[in-house]
Amino acid sequence: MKIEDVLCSRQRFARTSQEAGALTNHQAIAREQGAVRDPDDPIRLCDGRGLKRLIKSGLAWLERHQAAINSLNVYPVPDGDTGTNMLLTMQSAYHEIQDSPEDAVGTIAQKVAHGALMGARGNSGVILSQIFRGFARSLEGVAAFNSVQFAAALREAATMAYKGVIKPVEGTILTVAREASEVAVTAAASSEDLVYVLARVVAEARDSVTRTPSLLPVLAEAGVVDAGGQGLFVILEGMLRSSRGERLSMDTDLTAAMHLDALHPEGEEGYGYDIQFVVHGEGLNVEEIREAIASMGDSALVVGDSRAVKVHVHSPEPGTPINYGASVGSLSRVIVENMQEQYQDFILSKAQQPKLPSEPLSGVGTVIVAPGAGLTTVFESLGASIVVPGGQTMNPSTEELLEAVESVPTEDVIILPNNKNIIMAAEQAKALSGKSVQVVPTVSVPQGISALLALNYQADLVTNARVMAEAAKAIETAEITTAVRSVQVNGLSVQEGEVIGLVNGKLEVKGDTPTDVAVEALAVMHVEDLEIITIYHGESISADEAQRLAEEIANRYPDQEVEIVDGGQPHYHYILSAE
Amino acid sequence: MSMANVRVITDITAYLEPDVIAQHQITVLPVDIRFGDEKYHIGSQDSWDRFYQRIAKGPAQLTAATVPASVFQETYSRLNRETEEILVIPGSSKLSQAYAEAKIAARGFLGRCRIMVVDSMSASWGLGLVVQAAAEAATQGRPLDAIVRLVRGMLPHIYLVFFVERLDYLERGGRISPAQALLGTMLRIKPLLLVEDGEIVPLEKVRTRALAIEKVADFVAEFAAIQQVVILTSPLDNEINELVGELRDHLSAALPGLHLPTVEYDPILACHLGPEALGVVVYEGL
Repeated sequence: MKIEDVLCSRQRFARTSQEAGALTNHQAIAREQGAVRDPDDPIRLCDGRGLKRLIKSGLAWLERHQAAINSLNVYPVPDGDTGTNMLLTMQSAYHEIQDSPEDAVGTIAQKVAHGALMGARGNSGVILSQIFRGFARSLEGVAAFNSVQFAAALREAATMAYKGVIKPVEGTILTVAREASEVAVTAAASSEDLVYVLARVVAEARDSVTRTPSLLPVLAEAGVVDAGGQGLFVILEGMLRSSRGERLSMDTDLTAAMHLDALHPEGEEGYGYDIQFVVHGEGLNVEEIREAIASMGDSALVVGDSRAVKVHVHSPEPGTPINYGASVGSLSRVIVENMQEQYQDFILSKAQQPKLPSEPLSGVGTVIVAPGAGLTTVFESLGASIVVPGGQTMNPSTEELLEAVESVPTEDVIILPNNKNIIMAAEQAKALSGKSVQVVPTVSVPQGISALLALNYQADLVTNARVMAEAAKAIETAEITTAVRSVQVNGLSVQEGEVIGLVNGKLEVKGDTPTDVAVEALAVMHVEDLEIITIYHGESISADEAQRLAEEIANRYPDQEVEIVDGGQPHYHYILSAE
Repeated sequence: MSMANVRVITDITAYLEPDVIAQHQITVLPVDIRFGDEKYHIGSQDSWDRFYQRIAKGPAQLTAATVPASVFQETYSRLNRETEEILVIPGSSKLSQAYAEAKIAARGFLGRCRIMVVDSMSASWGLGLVVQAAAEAATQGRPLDAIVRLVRGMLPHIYLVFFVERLDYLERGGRISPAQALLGTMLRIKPLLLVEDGEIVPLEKVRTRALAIEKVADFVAEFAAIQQVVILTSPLDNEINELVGELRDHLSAALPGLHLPTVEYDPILACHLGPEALGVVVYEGL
């Protein structure tokens, strides 16, 4: 312990979790154990305000490491980013307690759990929300927790996280949560000091993250640690740092922290934030403020006089105009609205418009996640009740899926997530809804289309869910994209920028052009035995280019029908299906 | 009091053998179908063929099939000389105007002749089945009310299920939107359709012929009891007819020993399904 204390103080400033991304760096990091604070002044209790601070600092630290965590994806595909998903989940959690006057830690924990639950995005976000749920359950009715209660709450958190997953996999965030909580129990038995317990938890979380590649071979091959586990470690580390008195400021205003690049459907510029506030001061220069605000966004409206100026602007970055406003005077009536959400509401309301009177009225509604305008139209034309925009890089939250489920006019609803990383949020939405909901766990757009086609207007919910799942399984899918980083995976050495092909979710082929890779992917799929090949071309591919690929495929497979659909999906040059 | 037997009227879309028509004195009325200015008066095999050639060209300007009220009136007057009870069983009211016209025409006979018009909610072989049963009962001298009860009892046990390869006729009939038709054609979607309460409703959609045939066979295999299954195929000479053998193989595997006749579907169904549909009629029996 003594030696570690020395190590700890000496290396205190070198330890940044940003280095923890790659395995080699990770191994070089010294163990952190024990507290450097005055041990005569331990912190024995944490109330609601204390937990609020911890959550806030965990969020701030996570935000700082978001990009590093995102880069830990095993597959070099532009996929639902773990860092972003966990951050958005944490933001939703903090948003719930931000203005809460509650003192009791149990109540604050409950609110955090609720916020995380509703805002959960991606599988890592859902598991994080389960962790908070377990934590809150253990602290029900507690005004302020001591070290033993804290450890027990962490244990319950880990247990709940495992329960939330149908087939728990070791070497993930689950392992990190469990191992960290086990150490918490040991530490709490020997010390009443919460900071000491937290320090032990953080140290174990870090070690546990380091061990994830030895538990999950796919991580070892890709040379990364588990992204979700890393995210959890970073949150805990942020909490520890703030409890030691370190100030962790968020880079931007909380509302601004919603990262637009993650929320925006690609190619849909202009859905930023709608920002309004009033600046009060002496001798305000309206003209100057107008010029400054206009440079920060669109649709700027600045009116007022030397003592009060009303500002209204649309900007992708709400922090900038607000900070500026605060620099020239004092602010009041600050309103920040996410236009992306409004846009989605608009999409939702549009989807609810009455359909053709001849439209068959099935008793089973469908909520379908789809990226890109083309695919949205495809699903709508095939009778989707509601299409929720989302997919590879934009995982809809539990709340967004829940709202979609609730707005479907039927009592029975089937959710098609069409992406592996959205299935858990869909399951959460199912659990939260008062309706009868079934999730058909489709992992790709062609699977979703196949499943939706199998919807039988005469059959009941459960029968439909079964039949649709079978239909989804009967289809072969290839996804063609560009590698976002260099990686060694599944026996393939891929360089950043190379075109890669995933066949049924597995990285199988690579090449120089989307056309080459598409043709190679079909060879892997054994399409000779199948009847129809469908090409969904993404926004990066012109209709002519898709047509040329179709001709090439038709030449190679004269017995198969080849169809082209303008999917307009971002990131993926082609999605191919064969059935 | 000796009363003449009930006389039965149907339209040309009912699948009936000529000797059954003759034996039971069934009146079979021709059906009028129009494509814009082109009129098809479908009453003989010759006019069927000409009509089917037109169907192959697409549904532009196709208007609803009908048997005009005037034709029903003339028929009622003629039959009224021999009987005071007439049962009219035209094709489904959802698929043609004949049912509505038959009812309009019956109004003028109030007090002179009892005319019951029953919505068959069926077509083709299914329609023929109930018409034949009604006519046989009439020949046996059973009263009109009893025959109507018999017919109504049979109707819920007749099922028609199809898949179609061309979506333009479903679009023309307002059963799918133009956007769905466009996309569906692009994706080669073959909707599986069921005739329910006389209306054609979508059951589900498939993309391959193999799966479509399998689904039709699955539909049939789910019945606990079956008295008869008839394969309904296109009256045109096209690729669909080449799939009949495959469908029969699937059905034979599911229902060993059952005789599986093949019948061409009628002109009114052709107006709704187009020239490329394949399916079955299932009669469970009473």
